[in-house]
Amino acid sequence: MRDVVKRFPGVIANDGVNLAVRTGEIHALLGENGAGKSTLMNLLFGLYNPDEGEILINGKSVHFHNTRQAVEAGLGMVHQHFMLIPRFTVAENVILGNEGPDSILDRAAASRRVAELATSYGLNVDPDAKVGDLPVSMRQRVEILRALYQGSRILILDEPTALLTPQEVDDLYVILRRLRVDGGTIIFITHKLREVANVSDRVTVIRRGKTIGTRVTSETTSQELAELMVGREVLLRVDRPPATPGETILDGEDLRCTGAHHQETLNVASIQLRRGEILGVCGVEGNGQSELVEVLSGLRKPDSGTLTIKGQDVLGENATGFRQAGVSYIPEDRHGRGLVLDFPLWENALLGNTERPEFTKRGWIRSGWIRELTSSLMARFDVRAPSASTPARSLSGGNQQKLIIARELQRDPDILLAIQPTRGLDVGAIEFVHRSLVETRDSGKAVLLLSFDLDEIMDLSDRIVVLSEGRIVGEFKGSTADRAQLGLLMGGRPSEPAMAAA
Amino acid sequence: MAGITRLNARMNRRRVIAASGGTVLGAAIFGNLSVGSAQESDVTVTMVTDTAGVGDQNFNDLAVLGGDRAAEELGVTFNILESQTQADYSPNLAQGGETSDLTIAVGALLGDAVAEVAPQFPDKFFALLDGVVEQDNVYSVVFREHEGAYLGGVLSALVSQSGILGVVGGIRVPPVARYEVGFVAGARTINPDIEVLISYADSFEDPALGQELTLAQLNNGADVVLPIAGRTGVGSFDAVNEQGEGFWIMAGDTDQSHLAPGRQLAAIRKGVDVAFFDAAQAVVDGNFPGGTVDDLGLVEGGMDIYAFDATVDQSMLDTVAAYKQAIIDGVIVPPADDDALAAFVPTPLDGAATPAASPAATPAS
Amino acid sequence: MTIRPGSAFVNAVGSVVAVLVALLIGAVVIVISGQDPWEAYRSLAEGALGSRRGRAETLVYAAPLILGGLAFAVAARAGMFNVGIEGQLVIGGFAAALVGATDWGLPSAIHIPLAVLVAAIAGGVWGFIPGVLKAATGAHEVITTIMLNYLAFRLIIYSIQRRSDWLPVDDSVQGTERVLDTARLPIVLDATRLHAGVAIAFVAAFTIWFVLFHTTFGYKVRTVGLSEGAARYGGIRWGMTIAIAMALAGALAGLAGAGESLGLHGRHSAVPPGLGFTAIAVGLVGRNHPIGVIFSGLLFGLLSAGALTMQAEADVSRDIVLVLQGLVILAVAAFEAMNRLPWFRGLGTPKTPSGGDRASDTGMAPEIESRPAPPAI
Repeated sequence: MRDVVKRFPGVIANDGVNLAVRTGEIHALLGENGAGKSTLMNLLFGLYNPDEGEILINGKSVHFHNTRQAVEAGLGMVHQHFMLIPRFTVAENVILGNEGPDSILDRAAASRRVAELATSYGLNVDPDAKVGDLPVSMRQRVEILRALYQGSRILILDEPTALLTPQEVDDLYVILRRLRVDGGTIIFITHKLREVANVSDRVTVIRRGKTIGTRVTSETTSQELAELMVGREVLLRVDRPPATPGETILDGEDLRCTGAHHQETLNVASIQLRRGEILGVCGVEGNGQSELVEVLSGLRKPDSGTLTIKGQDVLGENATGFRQAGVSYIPEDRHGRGLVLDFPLWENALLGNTERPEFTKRGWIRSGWIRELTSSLMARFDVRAPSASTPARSLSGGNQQKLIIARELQRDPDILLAIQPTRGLDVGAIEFVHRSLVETRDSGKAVLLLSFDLDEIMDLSDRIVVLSEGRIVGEFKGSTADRAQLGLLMGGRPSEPAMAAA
Repeated sequence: MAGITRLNARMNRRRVIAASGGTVLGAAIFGNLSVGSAQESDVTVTMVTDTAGVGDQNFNDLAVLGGDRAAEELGVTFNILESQTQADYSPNLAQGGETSDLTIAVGALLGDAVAEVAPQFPDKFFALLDGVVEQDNVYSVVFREHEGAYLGGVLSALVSQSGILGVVGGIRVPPVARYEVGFVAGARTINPDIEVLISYADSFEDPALGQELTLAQLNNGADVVLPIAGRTGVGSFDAVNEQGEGFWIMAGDTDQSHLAPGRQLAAIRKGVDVAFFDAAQAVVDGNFPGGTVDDLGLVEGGMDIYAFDATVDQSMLDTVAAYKQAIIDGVIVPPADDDALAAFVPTPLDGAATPAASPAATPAS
Repeated sequence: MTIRPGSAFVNAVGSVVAVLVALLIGAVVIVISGQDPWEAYRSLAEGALGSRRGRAETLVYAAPLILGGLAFAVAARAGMFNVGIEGQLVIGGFAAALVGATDWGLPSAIHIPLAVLVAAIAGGVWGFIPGVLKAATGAHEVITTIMLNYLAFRLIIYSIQRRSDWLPVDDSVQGTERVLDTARLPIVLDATRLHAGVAIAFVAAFTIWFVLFHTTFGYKVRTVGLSEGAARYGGIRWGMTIAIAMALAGALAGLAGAGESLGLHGRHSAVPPGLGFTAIAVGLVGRNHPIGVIFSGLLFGLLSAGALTMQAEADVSRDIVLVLQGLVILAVAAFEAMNRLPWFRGLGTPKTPSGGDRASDTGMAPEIESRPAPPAI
């Protein structure tokens, strides 16, 4: 692809991108969310037409007007979201669109052909299984099979690991290497540095719609790639000065919740947040985390216990009361909770702030002031969006998260609850979030960090508690925490080898 | 005029059925009609329907029948303006006032609108069927439905095996109430123990509900049902059809035997079409009775009853005819409202047929 | 202006295109039924717009539809599907007429506002009930509002038939007695039916626009409607908000009823006018935006007003207007559905300025589906 340019109204998605992929290599396309990777691939695949530049395949300039032409030229694409019909079998899905000239479908023959193809590439899929019954990793293989069945020699994989477990990711790598051995070319779109290192032969980095550079994977480092990707020096590990914990600001005792079936979902004997300290809460998902967070943010009233903030009893207050008591809350669910996706950014900045006199005056919204505030927050927190009137929906996940953090920190809270604040974010955004948390701590506020990523907890926390089956089963100083030990406690059965979460 | 032409065809066909299948009871039927020969006229007559509209198999269609006849026999131009909502009454009447010599409003619910629009067109004529508006250019016609309904009640009680009758009403507006009350009075005259089940749909436009109410009555023992419910009544015909043998329908306003062939006992005829035609004729003849109110009953031929089924034998016909004469002669005064019904003393005529349901029944040959 | 799906601009264009498509299909229907579509539409337009009286009629028909459409829109903004507009409207109209027909010797300056206020309260209560039921018990508003429609119809018929002893009702016309002159909304244009209630509709639309988009309450309503989770997170009381929004919706419908009773008919009649159901369509076509509702209300009003001339002059059945209204709704719904289709979004309205690399993160619709045809193997 040479000097490809694609413009959308108001934005240039690809601005002179150059990408050269050699036959028989795994080529990683690395970039942050919103860098233009998917647009580029859609151009290649004929979904869009480039405004400028040209695309050459095997030295020949091509102009695809639709995906069919792209397929005929030997391209195949595996989307992030699979385009399969759940009620059809694997074989039926694979041959869909390639049923052959006969009006009568020979299922047995189709199934046989698909089985042969699967075996020859080590894809190990039962052609007669219903797609709807298959796990995600198998569905992905069906997608790959379909591309191969269509005769693809160049396979494009869009974020193929997003939905896979680590073990499945390893299996995928094996398959991709096998395809490469057979002369296939693979373009692997990702924003994860680790994957680049693990699977690719070469890597092209794009940033803000521009090609930044191409490297041979074995000759570069994660640090270099991260900096190319983000455009500045990146700290893959946050620099964290030692904490100076101050007074206890939140004190919860004997907090209990019961679930719908009268089972105990939370039973926390004692939890404290202190100024100037990050408390990490780790555990396997579904062990009382959401209950704890909802209790601490005022969304749920515990069945028993006491909870004071700055010495004031806050149980009985709703979310607004907790906010007024100084609690800010970065929710784990950006779309369902933290934002109203169809609202513009400035209206999202108002969420949770409707009772504050700067934002509203006698029931009227001070929209002018909020817009200005939003613009300044966007500048300060590097929220990339055309304007404060852009709907939140059209922002990338990282930018959405930055907006939430900006809003929550703008309240100048005493307590910040950060729940999985980096889930689904790319390197640059993760660094930003981590830095924000540490800065918040250093300005004398209490931070609670809940994450299922043990590395994140260990990197950032001054104190770590382990939550298992609703109880706090262990507490460590951040510096003394031992990964294996945490893992054991998280598993809830210290006698057996514990499963490390995530 | 394609829509209306098709309608004409349908109407004419129905009239043929009525003429051939109906047994005319009594002597003076619509005697005040002058049968005009086909002629040309530059008179334009516009009919404004209520919200039930054309095709209700009932009141509106009956008026259309009169309009068609006026077009045929008097050569007037006949237009129909349908109203979808109450809000359409006024503009439709105004449209009629602007474009025609006579605008006929069909139904009491148009009364307000007639009172509002008629003064805006002082040199045009308006007629209101089933309601009264006292204005110089408005001719109002109301009917003594209870007289016809009384005869319907007499006949139904004679035919009923179970001694239980049904009335399915639309909304209990006064004309409907008169039907109900007259029917009950007539039935009681024949059989003092007769039970009349009465249900209201509170709508003139809900055939499904009409069917349901009727079925409920039939299931509770009624074997003759009188629907007085506009389009809702179509459901009553369906219900009786469904039940088949042994169940009868007494049609109100007009013959609707095509809706339930062989199941329509008789039709209580309301002379809406006649009144319509008469009003048109008066305009053609230049003697429009503006400012007057006509109250039409059996004696004026504004109401009548036609039997349609062989189940009704000669003795029953004779009995009905005798009661008809008694009403015309003023010997019997059928009640017109609930209070009158409460005070009504049934006085059976001597020598009349006895009800089938009565144990002492001796069916006359 | 950024062109993107869901923006007011795209919605407006979508509705206009949908209406044009509906008129086109309607023309085909008219041809099939044997009439001249050009003549039909010409007489429709002439009837609705060609004369002073016609324009007044358009406004008269539009007024209850605009208010009813607002009643739908306000509820919809709070995430509630208000099917109960008809009931709220008739109960409001009935209440207004009862007040209007009662002779307390009040001057117009008091009698009119009182009757209008009572209508808004009656309609408001009728809307509030399903709102509270949903908030307190989770009872689905579609069920409860339909039930309340019937309850309103029956209550009115019962009152008219059985309560003439103490209510000003008249069972011979199946309605209330005539509203006294002191309570009649004045005619604002001579020799037409254009009454002051029409102004209420427009004032209400602009007021609702302001409330929805410039007040804290409106913000809460919209947040609740779009995301219950976000509302909870933001400390907005969901139950309270939907209950008040429904009460507001009911009050708007009640005002529509007041306009009909006090302005147009001069009494309330027991026959349900059906306006409340057309109002749902008005709300949908107006995309639940108060200003959009004005335009769609005017469109539907225009169709109703012009239909009378159309059936008189072009001899096209008035029912064709119902067909047209149905087609408009279908076309708007189809356009809405199309808006969600990826190829359509990609065509005119690229989904995001910078392209969401991760649909799961941006919440965007899945990537474009491609089902390439077979190459030879």
